[in-house]
Amino acid sequence: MPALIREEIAQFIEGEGHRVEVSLLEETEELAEIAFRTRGQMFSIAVSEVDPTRFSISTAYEVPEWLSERAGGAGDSLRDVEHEYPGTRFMLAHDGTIFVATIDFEAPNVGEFTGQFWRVLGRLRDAGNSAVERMVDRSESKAAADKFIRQFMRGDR
Amino acid sequence: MTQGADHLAPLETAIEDEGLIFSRDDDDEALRITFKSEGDRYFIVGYRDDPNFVMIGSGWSLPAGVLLGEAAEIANSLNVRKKFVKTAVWEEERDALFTVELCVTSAEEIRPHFGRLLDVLRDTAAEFFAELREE
Repeated sequence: MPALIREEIAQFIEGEGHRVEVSLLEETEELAEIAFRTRGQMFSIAVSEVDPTRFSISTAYEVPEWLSERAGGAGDSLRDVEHEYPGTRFMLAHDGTIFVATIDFEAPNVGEFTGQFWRVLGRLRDAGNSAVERMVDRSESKAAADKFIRQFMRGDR
Repeated sequence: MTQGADHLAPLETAIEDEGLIFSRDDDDEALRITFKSEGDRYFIVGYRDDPNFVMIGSGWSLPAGVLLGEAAEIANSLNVRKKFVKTAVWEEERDALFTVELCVTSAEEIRPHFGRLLDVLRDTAAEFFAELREE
C-alpha cells in the first residue's frame, strides 16, 4: 500500500528538524493539514490524497490593530504585493485582524514538492513580510500626508 | 551552579519553543545538543567545568575549488561588521564555522533570544556563501 501523501510530507519536514502536527480536515481522510513552525512563524500545508499533485502552503500575519480599524485597511497593500509576488494569494480573515498568505504549488510527485519546499516557503515568507512592511509604509506615508494637509490648511506652512 | 549539572537544559526548551527536534550527545567533559532547522544542522556546546560558557553554531563544507584565502577574507569582513557571530575558516578540514559564543550566568538568559541568534547564524552563513559565489 503506497504511503499517504500527508505522511510523506510530514516525514520530510520532521527530517528537516521540525515538529509537525497533522490534522484531517474531513472525515473521509482525503484532506489534511500539516502544521509546523519555523523562524518563529507557523505554516500549514494543505494536501489532498485524491489529488497528490497540488499543495498549498499558508501562513498568517496579524494586521496592526490601528490599521485594521481604518477604512481601506490592509486590502490595498495586499493587492499591491500580490502583483509583485505572482502566485501568492492574500486573504483577510477574522474581521480584517489577520491576513493569510498562500502559495499553491503543483508538482508531479512529493519528491518534486519537497525538493522545492524551502525555496517556495522562503518566497511565501518574503511576500508576507513585504505585505506587512507595505501596510506600515503606506500608513506612515498617509499619516504624514494627513498631518501636512492639516497643517497646510491651518496656514502653518 | 553545581559542576556536573545540565546547564544546557534551558536551551532544550528554547529549541522546543522554536518547534524543532533535538538530540543530546554528552560525555564526561562536554554537553552537546544537535538539531536541524530547515534542513541545516546546528549544535550547542557547553563544558561541564565552565557552566558560564555556551556556544551555538553551524558548520559547512567549503565547495571544491574555493580558495581558502578568499574564504578567510570574506570571513574577516563578516567578523568586522556582524553582531554576535564569529565566522572562521577551518583550513585543515576545508570547513566554514559560524558560532555565537556567550558568557552567561544561566543559559536561561539565552532562551528569549534564541530565535534571533539562530537567525543571525543562518543569515551570516547565507551571506558568506553568497559572497563566495561572487568571488
